[in-house]
Amino acid sequence: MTEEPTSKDESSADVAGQEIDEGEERAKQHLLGQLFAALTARWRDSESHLNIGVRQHDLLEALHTNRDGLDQLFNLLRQQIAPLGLELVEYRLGRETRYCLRTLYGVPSELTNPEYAVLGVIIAAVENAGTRRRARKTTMKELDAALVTRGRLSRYQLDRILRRLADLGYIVRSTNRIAYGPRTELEFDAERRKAIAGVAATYLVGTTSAKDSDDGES
Amino acid sequence: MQNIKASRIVQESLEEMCRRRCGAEEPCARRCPLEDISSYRLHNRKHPPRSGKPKPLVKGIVMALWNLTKKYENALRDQEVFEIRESESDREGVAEAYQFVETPWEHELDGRCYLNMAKMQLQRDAVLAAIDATPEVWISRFATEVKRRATPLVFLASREIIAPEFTMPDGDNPLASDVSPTLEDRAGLAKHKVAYDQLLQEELKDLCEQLATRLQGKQYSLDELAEILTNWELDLLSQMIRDGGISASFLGKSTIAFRPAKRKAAEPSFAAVAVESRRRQEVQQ
Repeated sequence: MTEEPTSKDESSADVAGQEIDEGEERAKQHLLGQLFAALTARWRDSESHLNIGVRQHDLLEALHTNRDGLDQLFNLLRQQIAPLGLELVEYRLGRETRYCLRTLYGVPSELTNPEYAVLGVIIAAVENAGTRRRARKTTMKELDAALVTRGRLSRYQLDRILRRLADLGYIVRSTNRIAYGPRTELEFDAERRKAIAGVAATYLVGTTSAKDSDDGES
Repeated sequence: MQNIKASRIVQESLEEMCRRRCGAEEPCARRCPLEDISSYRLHNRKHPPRSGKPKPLVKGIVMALWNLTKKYENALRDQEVFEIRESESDREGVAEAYQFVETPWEHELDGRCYLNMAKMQLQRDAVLAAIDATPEVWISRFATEVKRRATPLVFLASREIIAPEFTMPDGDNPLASDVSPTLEDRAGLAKHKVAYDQLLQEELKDLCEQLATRLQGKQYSLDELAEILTNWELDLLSQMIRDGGISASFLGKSTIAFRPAKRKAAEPSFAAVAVESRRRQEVQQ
């Protein structure tokens, strides 16, 4: 007689425990969903620069947690997004640490073929300029010599493509110089950039631009 | 004289060396590479350089290697391609140089020269292979090479939102206190402040009557009016003439006569005259 109520108590406690667990699990999944959406978002700051992903500082504030809690949450997220072919990327921009998601496999990209070609030329120029005095940058002159004077693109097309690449965060343009934007370094790691520079060497090789233009006119 | 002597000694020693090396009794009719390099060394021994690299007496093997190395390096940098015939003759010219070079620097130079020649060959092949590619095909091929190396970022919520500018509350804004006017500024501003009193309808009527009594039954030229009346009095006068509050008529071209208006004219007839007062009066608080 005395055992029955105890078993009832235990079962009710188990049920309550299960409900709590389910509630926690649901809340965690909800949180992971929100985190996923935040990591795949992009926004522009007041200077119209494209910002990719979320800042670590913002995440810590929004989640009311510390670095360890955030790491645990990221580990959970990594387990869940790995089967989708996605990976979590941590990168630094200025003094801030940011997070975003990247695919391991091919996905439809935002860039068109000419835009990829121009980006490839920029990557090749910047990688080859690594040992020179002004490293990590290229000039409009070099792009002109490779693309415009050889008749591969018009000046207007090149300008439009460069504007779009800057708009999408692939490059950063100053007065006459072009440097990598954060997105180029995220999407093309150092090894791939070197490989592109190697391939570009065979594509960009050829006679001088003046000779080409003369041939074309004649 | 000493220079001539020295050059004769050099020549004789060179001939001896050449004979010993080539096994011929007479010096080689063909330009022997040994002659060049030996003379280069002999000269350096006799006239040691004051600083840096030794100065060669003649264009020897080392100089030939050096010139070819720089020629090909410059051509590769400028993306120029030499003909196969030219490259082949260059290669034949320095083909036997490895037998005579001795120092590590000379060996390195020989290696650099051959490396540049090999690069030139690759460049030539690439140019020959890419000669038929139209710009569209070139862009498509190169874009594929770049695209297949990309690992794109994922944007699901890709609505780009422009974040509003961060603004601090007024109290905390350090800039606000810096640009806010000081007491002196306020005093200065108050000195130049122009305020407009609010007039009641009765007061306006009084002003009109005062103006009418001043002008009725008198004649003024336009210049005199500009002297007598202030700007706002002239404005008021023009309104009174328009509304028939005071009747005025021109005597001549520039004289205006005011008569008392006993009754309102049915159809007021007046000419518009712009009179600008020379007395500027502002209402101050």
